[in-house]
Amino acid sequence: MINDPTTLSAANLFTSASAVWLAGLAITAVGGERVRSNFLAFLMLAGALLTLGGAAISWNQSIEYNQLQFISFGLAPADSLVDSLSVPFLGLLGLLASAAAMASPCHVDALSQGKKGYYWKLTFIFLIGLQQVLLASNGIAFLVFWEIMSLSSAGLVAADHIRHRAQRAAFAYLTATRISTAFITAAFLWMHQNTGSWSLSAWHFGTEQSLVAAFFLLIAVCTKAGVWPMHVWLPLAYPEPPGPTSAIFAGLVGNISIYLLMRLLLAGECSHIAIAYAAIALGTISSLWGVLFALMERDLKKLLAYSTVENMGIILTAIGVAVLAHCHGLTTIATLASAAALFHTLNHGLVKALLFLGAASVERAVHTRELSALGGLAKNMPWTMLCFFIGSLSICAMPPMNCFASKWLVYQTFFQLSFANAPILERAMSLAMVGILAFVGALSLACFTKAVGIAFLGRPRSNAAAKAKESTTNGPDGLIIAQLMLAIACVMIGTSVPIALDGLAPAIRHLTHDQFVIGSTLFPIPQGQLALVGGILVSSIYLFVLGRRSGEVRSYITWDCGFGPLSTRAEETGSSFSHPIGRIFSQILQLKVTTEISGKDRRHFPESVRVETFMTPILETKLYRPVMGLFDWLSSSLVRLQTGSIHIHLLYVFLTMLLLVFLGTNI
Amino acid sequence: MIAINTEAILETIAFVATFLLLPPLLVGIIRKTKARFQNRIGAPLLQPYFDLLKLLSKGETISKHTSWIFRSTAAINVSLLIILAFLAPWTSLRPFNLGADLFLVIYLLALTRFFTVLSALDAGSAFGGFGASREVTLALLVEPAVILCLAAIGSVSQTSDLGIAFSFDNVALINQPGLWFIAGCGLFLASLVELSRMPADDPTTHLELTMVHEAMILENSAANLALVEYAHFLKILILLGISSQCLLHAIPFFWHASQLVLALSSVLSIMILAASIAVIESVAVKLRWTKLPEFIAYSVAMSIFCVFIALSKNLN
Repeated sequence: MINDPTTLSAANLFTSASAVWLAGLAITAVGGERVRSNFLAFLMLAGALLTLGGAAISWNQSIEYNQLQFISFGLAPADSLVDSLSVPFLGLLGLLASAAAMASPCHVDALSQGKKGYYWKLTFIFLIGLQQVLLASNGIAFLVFWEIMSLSSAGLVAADHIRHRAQRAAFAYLTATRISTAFITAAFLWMHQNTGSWSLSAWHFGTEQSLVAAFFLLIAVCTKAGVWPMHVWLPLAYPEPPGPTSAIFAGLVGNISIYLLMRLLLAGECSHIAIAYAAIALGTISSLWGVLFALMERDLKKLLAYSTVENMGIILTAIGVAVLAHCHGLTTIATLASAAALFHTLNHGLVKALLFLGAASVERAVHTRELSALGGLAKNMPWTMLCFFIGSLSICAMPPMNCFASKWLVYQTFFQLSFANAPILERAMSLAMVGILAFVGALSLACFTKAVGIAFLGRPRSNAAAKAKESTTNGPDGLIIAQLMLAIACVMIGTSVPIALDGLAPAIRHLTHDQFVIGSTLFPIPQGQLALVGGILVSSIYLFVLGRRSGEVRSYITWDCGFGPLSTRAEETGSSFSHPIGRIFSQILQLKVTTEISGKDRRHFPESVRVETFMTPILETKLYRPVMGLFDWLSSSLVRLQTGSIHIHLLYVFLTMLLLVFLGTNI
Repeated sequence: MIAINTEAILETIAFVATFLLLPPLLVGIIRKTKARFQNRIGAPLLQPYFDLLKLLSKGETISKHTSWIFRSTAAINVSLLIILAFLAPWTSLRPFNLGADLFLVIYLLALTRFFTVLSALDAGSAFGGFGASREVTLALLVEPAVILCLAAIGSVSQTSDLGIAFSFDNVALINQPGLWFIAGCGLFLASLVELSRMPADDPTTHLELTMVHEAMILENSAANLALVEYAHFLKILILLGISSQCLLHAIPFFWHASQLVLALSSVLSIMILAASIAVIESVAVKLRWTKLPEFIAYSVAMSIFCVFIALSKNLN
């Protein structure tokens, strides 16, 4: 098999991508800060393009190779397997890594001495980890590279570690990755015990005994992907990685765990209905919770992070339905659900990377992410605004963008389940889910009109925003080009969905074991043609109605009720925009508003008005703080065991030995 | 090989003429009815047309703080609503079926909202922001009701294509007057909110602080305003059209009526709904903002009834 020319060339491409990134790591390690950032970015881009090339070659054909066999992890060697499921993710990795590579030089050049090397080293390790996780064919190799990926990304989260914020984020992220790795390890060991094999493709989740492993896996994936209630680390950690890598981080870290879930549970034919219910329930809560908190957020990047929670929830519900449909033997719905989950995962990765790059661009220009200090950036940052706008359209699932297609598939999954041959409760649930998805959709519309409207439109709310400069050079620099690249990818996928779905068809067949799936028939709406018709209509209206008298357009100030130009303080702010919705959900959000009016005649002539809004994150205070308190208490109690006296410690050794002897003789 | 069919061409011309010319008349009907209720003679029925023409010939003023979003929103919204008029089942006369997917229709409407809200925020005025914020809040409450009413109908006919579900020869839906009626009422109540009509918003007031839709379009003028107004009129036509189609389907007589009767009655029923909006606006008061969720709850409740009917229909 290894001698097959396709296999060989694809394997060579993947291996050389890793080798190039490894070389980049070595060069940074030796050369330190002196290496030119353009050269390192070139290496990063080369690796990304090699990965893309490998994915393109092996698109239709699953290949297995063992070029890295000399690295053995004791239990299993580092074997690689590229099949139809890992190829789309490798493609996404290639795309996001090239975008990040283009954005890197201008980011790194602005960094202070000492941080450059740190950035490059961790980024290269992170990329190698990501790529090898996707290539791993057995559990051991997967776990090793998963750890490399997790730890290097934790390092990236802590890149700005002098700040308290980054420290906290890194700790929270580390905790989450520890929990998820622990559960994945447990699940892998369990499956190995069941099947006697470490190969991921040998594990089937259709058996009774695999239920525990499937649950462990679900917990692990929910923790790593940031699904409610394990999402608390996400709004802390997602904003922290340095600009360019935040695209890879946001686009792939959560998605890779979804990939694991698809590879094991969907491709492994999971038939536990409990898993399906758990996934749907967690996914639903997560999508509602995520979008609600995203809407209330005042920090641009945290808003995006919470929106990830929402989308991970939507993907998880789709996976849940896929499992459910598999249990009932409903092939059409299983196909729709798997296609929806896969396509939405990829689209979301792409769009979220785009949005994080946009937020990074804003942060670079204004030096803040607070929405209350932004505004009016559309004038000074037209490219960023355009890309962020496209990204927002897409993430709100507006036609004709790519996410509309995948969201439509999710809707269709639930809609078709409502008249399928399933128990009445499940059908009721599916129609309820259609309503909930509409609700979540309307909330995300509110959330992203807020993000675009408050950050980019209106008048600048601070001096820094008024003086924002988009690019470090005269033309668009790397960060802008990276955004444009991803934005174009979004639009292209959106207007040619049948082609994209045809490309994903092998992966969908792999997930559903249904050989008759035709990708292009899954999505019957001619989005591209609609976009074209819309474009023609808009331009003709522009020409014949608006443009007709364009000479008479007068530029004037915004309507001010005759008071004279209003200050920017009179503008709508992010918090006031979302306040009416916040009021409706004040119980969940723990939103409180206090108003203090003072002055002699308080009612008519107030001298000072002071309004404060408070939000306490309910999950953090009501669930996690007591748990953390318990851990604190436990550890401070246990510290008494550690007296430092050698005699006591010898006693412990002796007691442990006694216990072991007892256990060894009795079990 | 395209067979040229005179009848089809005539139907198409009639269809396009209806959706291009009818919308301002609907507003004229609403205004005239309201005027009569207030014992006034009121402006002529065709006044909205004159207003639009006048606006087209005026010089435009735009705020210097705006970006391309503000300038293109009206054009985009009109285009989107024209596309929607071709897709959505707002009348019984549809010479062609382009595949009106239920979720596509909802999301195209959401797309117009996306642009409207952004253009309201674009000038940076406090009023625009207020209106935008209220608009997204109302949309959030109404959206589930709209989608559930339509999804229930789609679920019974086992397709998400509204063109098929709303065609009069659909066997699955022929004996469902209850479902159609409740869905029609639910959609009508939801449309009142979506169209910024009375219990939710007062379209005639000049107090910007209480407005939703009017506050959002405060900065538009001349041709731009004409386009915004026309887009809004089109939206009235489409949303009232969908509700009236639901109500028509509830009347068993129409299942066997001829094409012409169906087409005429659909236009007529849209006008009747427009007049009933005027009646509601004359007898009801604008609700306080905090009371609105309770009003929308009626619409949501009706959509939930629809869901129950749909579920029991497919009971196996």
